Amino acid sequence: MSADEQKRLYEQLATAVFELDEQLTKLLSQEVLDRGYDAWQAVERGLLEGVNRAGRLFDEEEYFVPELLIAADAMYAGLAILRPHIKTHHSGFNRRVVIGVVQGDTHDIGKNLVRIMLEVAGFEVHDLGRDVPPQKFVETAIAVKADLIALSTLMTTTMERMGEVVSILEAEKVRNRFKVIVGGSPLSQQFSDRIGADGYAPKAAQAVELAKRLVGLSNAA
Amino acid sequence: MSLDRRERFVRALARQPLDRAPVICTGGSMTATPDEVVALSGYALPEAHGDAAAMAGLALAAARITGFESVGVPLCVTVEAEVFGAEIDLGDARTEARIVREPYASVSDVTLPPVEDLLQRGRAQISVEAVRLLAQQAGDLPIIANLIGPVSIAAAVVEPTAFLRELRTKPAETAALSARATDFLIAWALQLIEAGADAIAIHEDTVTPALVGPRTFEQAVVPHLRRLVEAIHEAGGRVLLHMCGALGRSAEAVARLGVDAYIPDASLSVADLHKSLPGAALIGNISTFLLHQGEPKGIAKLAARLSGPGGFDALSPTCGMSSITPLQNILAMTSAKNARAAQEFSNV
Repeated sequence: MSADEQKRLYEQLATAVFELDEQLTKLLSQEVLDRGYDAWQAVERGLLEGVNRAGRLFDEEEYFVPELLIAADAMYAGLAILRPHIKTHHSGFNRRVVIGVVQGDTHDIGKNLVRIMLEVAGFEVHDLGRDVPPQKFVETAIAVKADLIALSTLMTTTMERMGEVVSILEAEKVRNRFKVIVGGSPLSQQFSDRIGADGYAPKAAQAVELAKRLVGLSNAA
Repeated sequence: MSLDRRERFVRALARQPLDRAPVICTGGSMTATPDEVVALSGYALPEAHGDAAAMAGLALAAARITGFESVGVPLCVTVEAEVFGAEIDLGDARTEARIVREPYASVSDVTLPPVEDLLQRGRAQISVEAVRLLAQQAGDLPIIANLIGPVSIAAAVVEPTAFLRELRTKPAETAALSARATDFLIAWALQLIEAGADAIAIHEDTVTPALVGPRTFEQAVVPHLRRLVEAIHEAGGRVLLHMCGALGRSAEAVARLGVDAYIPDASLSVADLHKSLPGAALIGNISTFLLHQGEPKGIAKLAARLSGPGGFDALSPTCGMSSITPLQNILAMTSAKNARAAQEFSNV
């Protein structure tokens, strides 16, 4: 039956992403369109399911950063094919994040992982890259009407730049418009509290849970 | 037992009996030059990054001011990346030198000159000259020359997120680039040893087991590190290795590298490390967060405990110290050696 065939194709798509096969992901995504199946379901039950499986293996230390990046590449390749055919009322839940590595630091691998996980979770992500001045976070967050500002750093020296972002938000009297979350290996909940951020997460997957909770998409534990 | 500082360091690396563990700081990613130290040194950053006399002078002044029992150059982690074409911002006393832009977006685009040309680029020869000057001026202080590990250099030639992906998708090309970085490092390390370095510290700080996992580490990192370690040993040098993060299932692969000493991530326990790396001396393990934000009393206590029986063969900060680390916290660490000796005496 067609419903079974649809289901099988979505499952193949999830497996292709999970097994890091970008070419197969593209072929299967095209097949979804050729057969007239629903593009959003293919994204949700195929592409995103595949990356989520890769993410679970990442948490279990079976996959590492290279594998997660390649799975995300496969997902994005499939998304490029399917996205134009998604009916608009399915495209995410309209929550925006501005993310970047703070000024003075160019380590962005961790930030890139969080960006991928946020996009998989349905956030609209505005990535400012690395070595980003505090003012730039604030300007962008205001311009794109962001819900959340996500700050990353790997260096103890540049941690204090995160506090500057919060200070600028306060000085410009827009602090209550945005939630601010912080992450990076030298950080802690204590540090987050001290600079007046709204939350800290030690790992990429937990950052997504934190982000969802702060924008009201899931309840606090 | 009366040992001078070089003898104590050399014996610590060989895990021979000691009067006490030396307190060292390698340089490179673990440079002993936070801004308070630089301000007292009579030298300035970023100028000392680009001048051999100032680099050696600042390294020596830092050892004198902090009490660390070693000198290390270079004072940053960007010499290799610059040699390989990355755009560098040398920062200042408060902001560490850093890579602004990697030259290539993909490993497939990389073209590089021969090693002899690479050795003449950037600040490679300034570092060699700084070691030569230290060999004349540093007295009994052991001299440590610092290298970025070959695969972490490759991840500074190609944009690092792309490079990590290409470790799996383009293994032959990433291996060729890492091999070229290894060729450069071997030639440079031989110059640094010839100039008077007592030990070479390799900082494989990007492409670590924690980040790429045991399989990729074994296939893409170990062969290059092994060749580098063997070449340094053949030249009569000693090898210290530092990597961030946990070793996990890669501990056995790291043990096979045969390094003289391992400088672990601050989160790892000394008992586990001795078990998984039985042949290596262990250097560490004063957390740089504690050095940055802690109190002198707590730091001195930790230093005394870590240098005690069953502890580390040499004390050092891990990983990189923040440039706003208070000098009094560093002094609490370096003077702990006296506290321990005094305590042992009172226990007699």
